[in-house]
Amino acid sequence: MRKDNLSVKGGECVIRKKRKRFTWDDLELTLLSLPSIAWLITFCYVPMFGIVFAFKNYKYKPGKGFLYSLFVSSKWVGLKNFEFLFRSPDIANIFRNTLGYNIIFLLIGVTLPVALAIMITQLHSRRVAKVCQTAVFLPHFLSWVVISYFVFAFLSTDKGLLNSIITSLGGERIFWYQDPKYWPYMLVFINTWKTFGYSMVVYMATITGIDQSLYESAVIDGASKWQQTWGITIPLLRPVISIMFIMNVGQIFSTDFGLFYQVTRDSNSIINVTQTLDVYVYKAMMQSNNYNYSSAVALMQSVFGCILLVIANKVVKKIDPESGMF
Amino acid sequence: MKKYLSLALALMLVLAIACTASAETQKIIWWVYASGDAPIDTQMVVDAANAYSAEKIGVEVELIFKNEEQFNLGMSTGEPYDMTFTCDWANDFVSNAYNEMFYDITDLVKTATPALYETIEQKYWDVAGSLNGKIYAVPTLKDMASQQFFRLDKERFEAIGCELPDEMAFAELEPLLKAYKENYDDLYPLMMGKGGLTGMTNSAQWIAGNYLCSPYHLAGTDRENKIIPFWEDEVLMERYQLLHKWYDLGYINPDAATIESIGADIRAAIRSGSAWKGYYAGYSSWAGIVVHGASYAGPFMSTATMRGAMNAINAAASEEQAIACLKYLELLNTDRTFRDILRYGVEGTHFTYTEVNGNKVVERTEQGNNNWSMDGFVTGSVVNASCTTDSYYDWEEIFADYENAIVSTLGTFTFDKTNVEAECAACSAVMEKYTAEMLTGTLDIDEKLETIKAELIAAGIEAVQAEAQAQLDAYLAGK
Repeated sequence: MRKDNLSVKGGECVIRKKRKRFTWDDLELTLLSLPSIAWLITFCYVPMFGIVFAFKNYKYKPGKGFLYSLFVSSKWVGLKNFEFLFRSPDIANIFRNTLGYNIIFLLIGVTLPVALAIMITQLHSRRVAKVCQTAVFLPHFLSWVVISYFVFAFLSTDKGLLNSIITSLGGERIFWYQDPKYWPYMLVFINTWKTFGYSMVVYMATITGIDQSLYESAVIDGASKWQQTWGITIPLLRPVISIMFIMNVGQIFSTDFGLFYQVTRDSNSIINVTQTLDVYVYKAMMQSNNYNYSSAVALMQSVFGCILLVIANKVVKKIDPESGMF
Repeated sequence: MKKYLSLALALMLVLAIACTASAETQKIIWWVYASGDAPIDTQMVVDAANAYSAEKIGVEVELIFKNEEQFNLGMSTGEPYDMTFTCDWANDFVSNAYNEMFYDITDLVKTATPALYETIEQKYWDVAGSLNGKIYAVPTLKDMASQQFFRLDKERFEAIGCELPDEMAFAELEPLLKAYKENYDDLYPLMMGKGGLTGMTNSAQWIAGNYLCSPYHLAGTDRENKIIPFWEDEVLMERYQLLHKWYDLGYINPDAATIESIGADIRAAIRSGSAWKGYYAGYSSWAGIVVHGASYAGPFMSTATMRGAMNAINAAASEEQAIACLKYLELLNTDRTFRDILRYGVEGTHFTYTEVNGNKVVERTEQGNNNWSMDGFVTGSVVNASCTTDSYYDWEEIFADYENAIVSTLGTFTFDKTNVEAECAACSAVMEKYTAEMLTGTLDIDEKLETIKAELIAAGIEAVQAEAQAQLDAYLAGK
């Protein structure tokens, strides 16, 4: 799309004014997008009124219906619902875990899939490439609950695979679920294993779309594979990388509940390295059944995430004006 | 021929309409408790029950099974219902009654269903079903006190020469554990999941979460009517210390704090449970081995134990619907045949009646055991249902025994958390981190207590304690 709007005049990029007229093509595309728009409105915009939960003391009034109870009969409490989160003696720890893990996931998520995507596209055998791609992609389709059982099969204290190996070699078995020192590595490993296949496929699709003539001319000029990668593939991947990066930054206050709660089997001995915002809120809410508090925390996550997303976009645009998301 | 056929069909249609019109029945939606999925034969049993109740009182029911979270969600989003299960441990009675979610049946139950009102003893209406002097729920008659038992594997313990007492102290478990470990050295004698020994903490009445309590054993001392943090309850602390000692000795499975529970498929030497005298048969049939019950605490009685199971009516229901609900509960509490349908299923399919020692009892079929099986209190009074061939109880005797139970001095006091809600949520979150480890002995309570205390104080436990004590003092002064 961008190509049509760009023309090179005297070595300078000039962006032509976009045509205003609504064409037949536009209409077709608009119609195509209608289902998604309907989905977006129904599931993302309509429920947004639920934000008021965060500022109310919601009490259902029998016989009056949900909306009446929420908007009319429940009292406003201002910012009181946010108080609960900061009462926790663990709050610093919770934020450290949430941000720490997300930053690590972010760094790995930007580098590893790109590297592997490039490596796989370099494979000569199409069959091997397909097998690798499928193998890496597969964990993406498993739910965290299933994965938690996989992990348990390895780590179970009594009958786990790892402990069986350790004891048969004469070692002392390890209480995996009770020792916090293993879990930061384990969580990073499991998360990477499950998620990187998906982003790898995105990068691979972009690489496949790169004009082959660029590589051909590079080969004629005597460029090595390494030089081709640094000179052609990476620069052309940059817009996609930036978008993936910016989108992940927006999620930095949210963590995957499945990973931190299910996979760790909710073990309290290791909670100092596994408790993130979502886990804390879930556990607190299981006890007190207060939807106001959880809404308040969710709202906070979204607002901070949104602010960070805008900042990240600004920063990326500063570095490379073409790569921003908006 | 065709003509006659269509005529006949038309006639049948008219008749069918006429029939439904003449036998107008009222339909009520009843939410009941299920820890997992609804039983497989729900529709079959409900159809049988509806046929019976429609004829007797003109009320039919739609039975909906819900778990703890589904109750909370349903209540706060206004899902339609007429009657719901409510109690001390799920679909919380007190907070719902405070928020006026339930129908005030103080007068209605006396005028509309006097037989129901008579069936249930006055003290259960006053203590269990009431809040601030108004009746909001109909108590389900079951075991009304809480007594804790060790459930011991009789065969294996007797094989190694252990004598099993009927009553024992918690600490007296140690020699049994030791003997078991020595003789069956590849097994853990005290297997447990993250919930620990079921009912172990019931020796105190819990006022807020599992951090503030009023222990029953302090009744009659100068510390009665004081709300204290759990670490000031010596009985409970001793148990935590013992558990940790046993954990270190290898009596408890090391992964206890991370596994959900020990299912019936595992032959555990010792389990724990809340029950009543003579309930061994129930434990035995559940575990598939002969179980000996040794009581180690109780029986205790308080609002919490009496509110073990109740049914309340939606505040939004019309008076007509409310009366229908009460009539239904009345039938359940007074008509044994009807009660047995909801308790045991369809006669001939799920169970048959037989006679043991001159008493009419129920023998469940395999289909009954598999497809219509649930806790006795779920669909109504346990007391009014027939006993089964493998477990016979004299409920009158059990209820008479309650006169000797240790009764809480707190009366009908209930803690209104409104003013300290954020503190309570924060304290609960702190306890969440340690509970499983404490209950399974994984954690050394003597070493960790200072940390836990400090965290709870930071979370505001002192404010909660002060508020609860102030409310209790005001209640006692007004009494």
